[in-house]
Amino acid sequence: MKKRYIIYLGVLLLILFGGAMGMDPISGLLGLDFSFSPVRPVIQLPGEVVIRWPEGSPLVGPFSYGLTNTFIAALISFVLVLLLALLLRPRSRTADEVPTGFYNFFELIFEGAYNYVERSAGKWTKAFFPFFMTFILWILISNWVGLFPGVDSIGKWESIPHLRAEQAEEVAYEAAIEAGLSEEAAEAEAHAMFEEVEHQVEEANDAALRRGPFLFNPRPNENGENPPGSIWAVLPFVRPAATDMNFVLAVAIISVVMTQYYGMRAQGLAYWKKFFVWNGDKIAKSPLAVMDTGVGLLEFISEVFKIVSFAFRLLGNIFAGMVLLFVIASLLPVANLAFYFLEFGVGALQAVIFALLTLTFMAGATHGHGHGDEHH
Amino acid sequence: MDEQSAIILATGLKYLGAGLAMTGAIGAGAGVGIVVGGAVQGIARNPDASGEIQSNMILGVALAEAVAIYALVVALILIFVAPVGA
Repeated sequence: MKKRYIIYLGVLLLILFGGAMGMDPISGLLGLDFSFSPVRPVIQLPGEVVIRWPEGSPLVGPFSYGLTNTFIAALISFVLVLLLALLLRPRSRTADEVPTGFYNFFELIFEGAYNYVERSAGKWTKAFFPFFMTFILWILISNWVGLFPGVDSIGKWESIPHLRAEQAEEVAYEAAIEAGLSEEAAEAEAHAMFEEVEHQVEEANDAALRRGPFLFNPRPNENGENPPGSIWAVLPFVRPAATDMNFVLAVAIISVVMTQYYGMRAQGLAYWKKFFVWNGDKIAKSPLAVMDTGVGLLEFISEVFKIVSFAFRLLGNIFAGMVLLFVIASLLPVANLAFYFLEFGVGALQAVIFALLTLTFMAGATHGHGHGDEHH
Repeated sequence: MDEQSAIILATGLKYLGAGLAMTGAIGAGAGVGIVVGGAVQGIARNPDASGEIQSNMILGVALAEAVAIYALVVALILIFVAPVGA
């Protein structure tokens, strides 16, 4: 028992030591030509392309230029969830034994979640539970992947202008396609754009400036060129999946579309009566009954808007957390410990909330709405 | 005004816009305060129900907080995505 606390204390001291090493003056005292302060990764909303597809690959398309780091993180978390399931499966077959250790821990969690779903979903528990638990596990793990040391901080050096040149190439390509040029002509034009922007970059930069191990900030050269953090940045290999619109939109669309599906499973086509109301008799008596139609349409719009609200809640929380960690790391590395704790909580909370809201909406869709006196 | 100072002005306005977008956090702050206040009153009156109240409170807080997060997303998009000039 006592040994455990010594280990905790050691880890804490190591973190504090690492944070102190990150303060700029220390490497100055040691006379190094690089500083230990963390390099600020590229901050941009779309996932950065780590591996560009080779030319002529069938994967190249209007929306795909290469493998993005957010997609790698999504795959990692997916594989972790799969591994967890495969590890737990054999034990779940031996029903008689008293569960212990690792398995017992997850049985506790799953049983609690199952009971929770049962309370609000009733006979639909078997249908809703897989969605509930998958959303929790996948989103939770993909959020926590971002807290591993090395994620978001290990990557390739990238000069920001070069990155911008690549982006300018993509924009030029799309503009040329839209202007009605053939694909080849558009590619040539985009390539010319890239060369031009990159040429400007090469002129502005001294290529010999990438000094120091790739994890550390190089100091500016004697002429004061290339100050760290302004031109060179790290393009991380892995970045939390939920900081990419594609991931959050994908899970949000799955959640909302499956809600409609279960609504129709429960009520048949009558489900759509909630949205498209037309009471001819009532309207004949008093024209005010048209209001019901309007309310139904509003409800339909809010149903569609749920996709946006699901997606932005997750994206905003995780992306803001990521930026917060960078900024604190470059301002005051020691304080990052507290913010890691915060992000740990936020990551878990957002995953649980995503799943809880999905469950609530799904249960609401199966309940039916037709009696009129029900309020929501 | 020459092009250089126009770009500088546009950059400044971009950051000003991002700051203004964050005024959306006012409503979320009030909302979270109301939710937690209600939950604390509920727990004080009926401590046995604290577990259920707490989980509902967290759900409500997250929903209220979402509005602030939308504002934050708008601010982040203004800072990191919206181009200046061009």
